[in-house]
Amino acid sequence: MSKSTLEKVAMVSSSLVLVAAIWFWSLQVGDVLETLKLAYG
Amino acid sequence: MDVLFFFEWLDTSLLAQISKAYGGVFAVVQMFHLLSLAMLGGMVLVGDLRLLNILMTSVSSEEVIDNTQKWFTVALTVMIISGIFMSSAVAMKLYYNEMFWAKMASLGFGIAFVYLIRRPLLKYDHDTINPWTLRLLALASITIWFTVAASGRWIGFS
Repeated sequence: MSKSTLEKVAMVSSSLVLVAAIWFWSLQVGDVLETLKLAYG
Repeated sequence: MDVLFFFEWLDTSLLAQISKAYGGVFAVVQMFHLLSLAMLGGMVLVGDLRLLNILMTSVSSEEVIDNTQKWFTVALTVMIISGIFMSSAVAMKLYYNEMFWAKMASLGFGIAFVYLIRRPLLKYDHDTINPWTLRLLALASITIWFTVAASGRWIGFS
């Protein structure tokens, strides 16, 4: 792969990773908050 | 593709017999797993914080990346080998655990990201790479390995 292609792939994949991680961890923290609400009101 | 057969095999393998019967052996292997996790996390942080111009700015980023990459590979190898041994003790429990699969997915993606994208790109002179690409690459790398470590810890809570 050429350098410019690698740079583009790096930009796109890094952006996707950051978006996916925000979505994934928001879900996990939301689940924990829900469980805490069920346990303690 | 269902990999249940692999977990069923692992659950009854010699590895599982050892890991279930000898708590001391399991604890020692777990120690190596956690040590290698700490080393891997350290190498990721040093390399990526250097790319973000936060750490070791007096040393060239090419040199920092070259040195951290070697130890990253050593830590990853130890982590995978010890991880297979540890998972043999609770193979069937892990198969039905969603966070385990989240960890495996992020680990697989992390390995592909490092060896197919990060490493080949960082072999070029860093001054010739767009600084925003370097910053995004570093942030994504930290995020991936944080997710691998945190979802591994999360397995115990789910």
